[in-house]
Amino acid sequence: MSSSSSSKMIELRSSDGETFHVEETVVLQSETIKQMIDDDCANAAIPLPNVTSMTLAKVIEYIKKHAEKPKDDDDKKVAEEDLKKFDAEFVKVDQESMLFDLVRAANYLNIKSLLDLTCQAVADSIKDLSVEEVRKKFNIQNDFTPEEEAKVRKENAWAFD
Amino acid sequence: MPSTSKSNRRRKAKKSKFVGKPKQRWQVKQPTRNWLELPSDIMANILYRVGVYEILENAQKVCTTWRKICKDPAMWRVISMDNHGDPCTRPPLRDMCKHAVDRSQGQLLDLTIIDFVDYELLEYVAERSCQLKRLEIIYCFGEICGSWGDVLKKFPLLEELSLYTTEISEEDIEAAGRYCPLLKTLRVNQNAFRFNIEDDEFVTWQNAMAIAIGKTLPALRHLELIGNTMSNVGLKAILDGCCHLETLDLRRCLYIDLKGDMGKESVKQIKNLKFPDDSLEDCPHIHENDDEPCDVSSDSGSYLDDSDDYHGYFDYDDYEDYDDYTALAVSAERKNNLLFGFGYDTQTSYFSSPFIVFKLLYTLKVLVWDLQYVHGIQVHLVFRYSTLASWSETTYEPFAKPGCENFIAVLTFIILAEVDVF
Repeated sequence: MSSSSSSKMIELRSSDGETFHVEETVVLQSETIKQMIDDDCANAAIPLPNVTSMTLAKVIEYIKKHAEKPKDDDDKKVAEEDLKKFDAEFVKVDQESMLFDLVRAANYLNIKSLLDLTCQAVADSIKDLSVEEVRKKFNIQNDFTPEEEAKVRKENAWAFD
Repeated sequence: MPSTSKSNRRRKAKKSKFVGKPKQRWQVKQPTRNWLELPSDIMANILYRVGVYEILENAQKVCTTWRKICKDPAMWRVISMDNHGDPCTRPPLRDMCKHAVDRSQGQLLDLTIIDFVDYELLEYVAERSCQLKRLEIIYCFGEICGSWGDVLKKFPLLEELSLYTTEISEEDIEAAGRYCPLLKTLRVNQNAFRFNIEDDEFVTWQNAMAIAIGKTLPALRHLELIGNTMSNVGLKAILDGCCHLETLDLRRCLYIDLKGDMGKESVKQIKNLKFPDDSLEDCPHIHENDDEPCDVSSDSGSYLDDSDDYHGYFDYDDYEDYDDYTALAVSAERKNNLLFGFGYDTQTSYFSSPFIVFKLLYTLKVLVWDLQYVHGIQVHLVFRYSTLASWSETTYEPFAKPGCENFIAVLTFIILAEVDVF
């Protein structure tokens, strides 16, 4: 195989049938895909049944940015700052559902830095919310029985001394 | 599976459209997601990042699934708690920390506490966390110093101990050597000061910790001693004793001179050496000290202020945590003025030496630094002394000359600080 060539392209297919062509060096950030390439399963398009085209486009945007190599030390510092800014902007999505999809995709594709980034973004969005606000935002039902709820409150009595 | 080159071209065109401009409007129509469908390890990863306080107060009360995740000991292997609250509305962080430690059920591996640890809490952790590998304490004044041994012997697996502006004695270092055979990384970082006392006692004290490290921690790989008082004597003890050392951080070690052979030897032995003048930019919790040298032996120095302009007195009797050595605390909040102080009882043997006073002032200096540069509180110190009996607004005299003789002569001195909160 011509894997030594830096311009080798890998084809990815999203759950809704969209295909994406990404340089192998870029796509290797995904441990899942790396494993497939190592196992020689990447000759045809790699199907990603858990990732929609919408999400995959975002993921590719992320890994492309993170694959950029700084030329020298001066450039390195600038690039680091730039990457930080990019990351901060990247997780600023309008919809919780997009963040959800990104977390799931990062987990499935096993891209650790993206998983960390998106989990942190979700955590940050939870941080200052009350219990009710969290339930509303994440569409979660309160499934505690009244007894259980009383128990939780009692356990935390120290917090209100 | 195999696709023709024709379809490839078509798809390529589509792809660039997608990457360039995600369709935000289309996104709105997507059905809401069921967050409870996330694998529990991912949900745990998210909740862990929410923080101890928020988990205990909110996240665990959202639903039974989250509650279950928050009860899992695995969730509490890494605990990091920061006190960035207002001292008045501050939640009971020590109780919360204990609760978090309870939930780890002995599985705690990594603990970081910023600015609220006390000895009792540390003891509580020690009794319950024999698997601890990493401990980081930031801003703990006085009270643990000298007692680290009792804590460290409960952490036989400790690999990393990081202390920032937190005191540790040479006996404590020896205890670390005795009880923590796996200790590979030690950080004892503090803000740097230069002192004018250069008598024999000082020379012994300034190198005591370095010598203890060299003698008792031969397996160390990484050592950070930012702002340490050691001279080349101490450095030599470290280089001789810790022969596996890969990293040595000597930033702001003002008494070290690396110009001569000592410098060459250090560079030769240490792969990653940081010099006293290197930038502190990437160092957490430690700040550049632009002040005049700390000077207690001659003139009053810039940090001693004879001004009578202060807002209130430190009430000796109200100070519950009074400890005859280094009790320091923010004792009261009066409108927008924080008043703190500490008392020092000369009846005890501690006060027999001007050197102890100098150490005490050093501790105060660290505290002032902390207030000014970490909490952004402007501090003006007003030094007063008095005997306890005559302590009142009218009878004490300001320090005219805070020389050592005066310190010894004084039965008790009280340091008052007027702190203006921005």
